[in-house]
Amino acid sequence: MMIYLDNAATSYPKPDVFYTGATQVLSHPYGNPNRGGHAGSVNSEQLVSRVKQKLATLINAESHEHIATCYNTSDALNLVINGLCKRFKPEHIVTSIFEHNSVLRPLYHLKNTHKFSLHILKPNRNNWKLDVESTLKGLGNQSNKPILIILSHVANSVGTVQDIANFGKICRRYNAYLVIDGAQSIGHIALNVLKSSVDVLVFPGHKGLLGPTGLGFIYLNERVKQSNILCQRQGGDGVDSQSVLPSLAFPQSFEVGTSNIHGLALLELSLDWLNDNSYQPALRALSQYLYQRLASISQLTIYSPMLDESNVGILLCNLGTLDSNVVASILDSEYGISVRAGIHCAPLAHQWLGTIESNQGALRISLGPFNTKNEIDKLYMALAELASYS
Amino acid sequence: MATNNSPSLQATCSINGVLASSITYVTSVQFSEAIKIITGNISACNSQMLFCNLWENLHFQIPTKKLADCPTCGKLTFPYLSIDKQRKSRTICGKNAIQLYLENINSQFLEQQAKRASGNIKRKSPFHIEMEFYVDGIAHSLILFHDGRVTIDGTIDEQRARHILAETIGY
Repeated sequence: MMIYLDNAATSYPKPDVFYTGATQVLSHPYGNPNRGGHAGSVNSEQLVSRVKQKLATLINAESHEHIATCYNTSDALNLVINGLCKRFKPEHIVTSIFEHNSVLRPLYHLKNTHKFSLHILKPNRNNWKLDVESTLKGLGNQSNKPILIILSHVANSVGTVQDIANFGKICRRYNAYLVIDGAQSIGHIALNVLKSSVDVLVFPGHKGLLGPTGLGFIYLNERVKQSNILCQRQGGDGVDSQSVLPSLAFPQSFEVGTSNIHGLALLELSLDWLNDNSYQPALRALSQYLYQRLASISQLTIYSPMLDESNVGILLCNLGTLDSNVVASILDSEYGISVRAGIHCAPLAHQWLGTIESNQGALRISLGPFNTKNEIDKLYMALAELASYS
Repeated sequence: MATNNSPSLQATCSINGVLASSITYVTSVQFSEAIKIITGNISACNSQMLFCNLWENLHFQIPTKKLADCPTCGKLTFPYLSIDKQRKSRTICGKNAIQLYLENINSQFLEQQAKRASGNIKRKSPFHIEMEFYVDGIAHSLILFHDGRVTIDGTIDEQRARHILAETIGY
């Protein structure tokens, strides 16, 4: 029996209802939403609205009309970063070493065509927090162009959680737009976008929301929604079809082509389960247990801090000087334990940690709502056994 | 069962060298047979397996026939060309390295490799061996696992990785 500890990559297993309800939802007559008036098309339109409504409730968005569907979080980040840069032409963009390549690569690519200064924040070594305010104060933004701040809520490498509400307040003071990558947080920890003054939030369907792969979501608050950001992708959206010019009306403007209707139908099953099951306190308790158990292996270097109770179950570590890929391979083949090795598409975080220089990468253990203490005990025993070869 | 004929214990062409005339000999025979097929003269083809050892002057032919239930020549399903048999290589996250899968390895694979290249071993456990070799003047680390996985450090090019394997552990 596989012990799956790679939930930060994608969640597994899903709630039972995801599997038991799959046949029923997949055999339901879903047509193409916004592409006709027949029953199948209407079914799909209603499904899209229902799922968006449930997501809007989850993140406390203004309404479901502030949410667009796309293919995944990287897709969402590409659309948002390119759209915001073209629309606002910021002279400064602030991000951090914690960011995934789905933020860093679009930004570095944009530097070829847009002129802006890129500021990459490093966290405080003691509390792992990012000091957004000092950076914004230092920039002393004199232009009327807003500063763009793009940060992850939870770092996919080490699992550290940032205080988004605090960032939101600061951004409003300094004419900055706050874009949050919620890939590792949404579902696991609450985020109230209105209270936290988040301008843009992107998140996936298959991680903390326990849904299928192939779905990403973009939330735009009212001021960004009204700013008519042009989507990189153009095509049919079922609206204003007599015009050959691109649509600017969000969310349709970001939803060209047929949406992943079956994916949304499956996601709805998971969202309903999430609504009825509050797994988060148990996940946090299990995270603490994981941390304490592994901390007792003297050869294990744990990079993730266990500073507060908001940890979402991500622990980054290395066993002595062993290559993390070796440890992951052995855990997989000899113990049936799935974890992720390498640098987790977060090159700057690993540079900061020194795990690129050491050529080790690191081992990421990431929990989900269905992991157990027994599985963590088995991981502990496997690592303790391997420690003698480290 | 481990045998002395295990692929992992055989020296390869690139290690031992090849007698150039043997290549000419084989391609000449194969080319002639191909011409017969292309021109519709299949009856002129040799239906026997030809063995030749140019160094020791040994030449003989082994009669062969199609087995009706042979998956390749009888049933024409070509299982060893199917994608299922060819486990894909994969690059290693964050490293200039590639992982390949060695097929048909036996349970003594790690032990045999450890014996064969004991001077190159950097670290070993019951589950893996880390080795270091110089190939074409470049240092490469090889990590071997007993299920046939092998990670080759210093390249993400599969052909180069296979060359390194042939030069070092003879696969």
